[in-house]
Amino acid sequence: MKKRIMALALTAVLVLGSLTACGKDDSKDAATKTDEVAETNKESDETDQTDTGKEKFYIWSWNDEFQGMMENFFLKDHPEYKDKYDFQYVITGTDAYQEKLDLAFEGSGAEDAPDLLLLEADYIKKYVSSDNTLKMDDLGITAADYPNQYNYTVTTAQDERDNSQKGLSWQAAPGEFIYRRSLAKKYLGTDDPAKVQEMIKDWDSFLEVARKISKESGGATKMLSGPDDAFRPYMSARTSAWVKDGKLTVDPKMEEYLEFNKILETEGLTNGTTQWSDAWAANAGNDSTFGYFGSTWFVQWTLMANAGDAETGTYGDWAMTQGPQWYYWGGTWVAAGKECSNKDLAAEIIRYFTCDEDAMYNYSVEKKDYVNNTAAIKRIIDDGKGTFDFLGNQEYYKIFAETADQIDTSIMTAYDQKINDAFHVEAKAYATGEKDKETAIADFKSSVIGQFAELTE
Amino acid sequence: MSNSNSKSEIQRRKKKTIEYGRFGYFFIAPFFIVYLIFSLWPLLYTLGLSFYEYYASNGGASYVGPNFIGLKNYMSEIKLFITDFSKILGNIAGSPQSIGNAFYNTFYIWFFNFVPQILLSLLLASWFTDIRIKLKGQGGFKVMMYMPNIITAATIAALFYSLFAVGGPGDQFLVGLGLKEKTFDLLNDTGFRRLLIAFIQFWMWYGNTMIILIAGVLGISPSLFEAAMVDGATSKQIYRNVTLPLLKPILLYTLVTSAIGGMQMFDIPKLMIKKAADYKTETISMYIFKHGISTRNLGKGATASVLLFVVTLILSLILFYIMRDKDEIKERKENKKYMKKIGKE
Repeated sequence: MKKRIMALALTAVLVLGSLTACGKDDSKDAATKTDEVAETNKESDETDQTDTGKEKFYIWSWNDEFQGMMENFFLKDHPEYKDKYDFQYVITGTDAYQEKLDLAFEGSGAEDAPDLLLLEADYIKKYVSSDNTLKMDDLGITAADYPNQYNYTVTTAQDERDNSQKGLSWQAAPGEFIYRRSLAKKYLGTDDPAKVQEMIKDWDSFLEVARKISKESGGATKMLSGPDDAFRPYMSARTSAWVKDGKLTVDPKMEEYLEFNKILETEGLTNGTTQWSDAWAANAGNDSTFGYFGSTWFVQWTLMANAGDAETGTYGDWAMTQGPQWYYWGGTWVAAGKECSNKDLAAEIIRYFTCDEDAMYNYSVEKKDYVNNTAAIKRIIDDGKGTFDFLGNQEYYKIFAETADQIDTSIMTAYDQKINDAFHVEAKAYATGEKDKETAIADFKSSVIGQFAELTE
Repeated sequence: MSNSNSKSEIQRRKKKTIEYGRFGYFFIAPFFIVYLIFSLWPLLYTLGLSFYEYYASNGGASYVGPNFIGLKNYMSEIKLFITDFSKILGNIAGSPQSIGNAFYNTFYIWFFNFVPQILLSLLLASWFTDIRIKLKGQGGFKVMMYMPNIITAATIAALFYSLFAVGGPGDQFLVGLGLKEKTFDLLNDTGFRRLLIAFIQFWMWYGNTMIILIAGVLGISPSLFEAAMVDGATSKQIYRNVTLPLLKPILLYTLVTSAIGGMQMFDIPKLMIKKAADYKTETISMYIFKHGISTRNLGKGATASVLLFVVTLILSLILFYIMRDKDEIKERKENKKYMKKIGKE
């Protein structure tokens, strides 16, 4: 009997042991799974209804923006495609997007290989300069189809090797400084964009205003939400690329940024948040933050989403001006994957969103997205539709249009996203006094070179 | 007639038994096939890759290699390891940020997770199994202690991240107490973040370890405890001289699985950072992920994986050596001696 108990107990230990071993693995799997589920619940809903007999068309993206555009615009204007094709949206979330794309391109013949994929400014060069994306020529789209696109959006999506067009964008992403009208009246005496622009026309005066706001509000209101908010304008001020001929270089403007970032941090001129953190987004709905640097998509995706309504929140209390520096931030391009199963359909979708002036006009008026079509933009401004009640009915398309003309992305590289990431880490270490400037820059360089085997100092 | 009949009967039976024997192989075949394809082959392939120069260049647009370069990958990783440790020891300025840092972080987090974990689990296991105390509501306690393990790691990481993020409760608490003047990024502090991750791991796994240890203690024959009690041993003596020695195999099992699990720590530390380039609490698995999967330097990722394997192997062997049964080895030696003696005579 005792032996039996002993045996039972031992088996229990063994079973428990194997359970824990599984448990460890499971928790990992489960973690990633829940992530996926959370981010792709729409996708999985759709994949459940399989075998409808319709041809499947896979569109890859990191968020559901394009899915909404397809459903609310393209398929409404072209309902016939709804019956013919089964559109599948593979939505991965920002963090895992590139890794999943790389794996999808590596294994060929997968059913859900991207037919169309969306690419963000920070890594578009990586995909258009590879064989993973198709030439627009192969889809039958030529330069004559898009005469009114902003030139920078065209050159950005060209293959570095032969300058062939690999992707097209439906939006331009000029960036502005967007500030709170009521706070501007309170601390600066005016909310007129032209007068505010005069006050923050360069970085020194920007800092002066930041100090003034912090002092007069008694620390309750800060100029920016976090010290890293000014990163994008400084990025656009650079004159040399991060990587030139396999050499990593730090532009003098980025060294200036290090100092600027440190002043913001040490003098406490911001609320100390990091970009994309919860607190950073939430500050758009309260009086703790005077303004944000943001581009076209930023207005809806971040500001409007967190501003709340007009009574309790900050809706309608915003205004826009250029700020110390023209810049662009982000932008999304559409490209066709190398194993695109239906080139005609891919071309049809790309044409609809990036070439068709009327479609772009409608889309822009309805979604307030600044489209990549100068003719459509001009029509919108002329029709008096370039205003937005969120920005106190300011004619904001005019301001975007002025900035968009200046955008130059010639120093964009395929490495940008990972290099920017590494730079943020060291900029913070320098700002908080953890390291001196030389060490921070040296650490930045070794961090980047450690990640990219082909780069040298 | 009947004779030949029974003969064929036997033959048939024999045939049957042989067939049954074959079924065993059929049943285990799927495991071996899956293992060969999805475990063994990738293992060998990784080992092979570590001798090649093979990486995505131009930010990932195209590939360089594979070119055979022998041990060069290992040499460069070992060089990085040495540089990192001179940085940790303060001989060179700058932050350690490559493989040495990753190993250091992994060990650091594992140590501060495992030592408190095993101590607390042993204590709880002894309480729950003590015949004299007879704790009430044991089931409830066990469920509560096991609970953190049921929640997915991603959820827990997100929870702790927002607890200590800028403007979060942790930050507000410190500012409210007047310990900090302004809002402060607690998670930017390397030491704090390491200990926080260690604490999360500890909190998630101590219930699990406790259950294993309880099962281990219950597996010891109660007559031994009774005998010790009759002999007048105190609880402490019983614990030290009866429970612990007999718990050794289970302790060894816990130690080894925890060491292997700790070496592969990935989810919590990965989810505690917002920028992939943040190496402050990078563990070795994150290092492998960053190089092998994110930037697709396959040679470097494979090399780091092989090094991780070697370190895990050494660590496990050390643990096995420390926890070996000294009495048994002694007995075996004496037996051998005795046998020799008999042989001589």
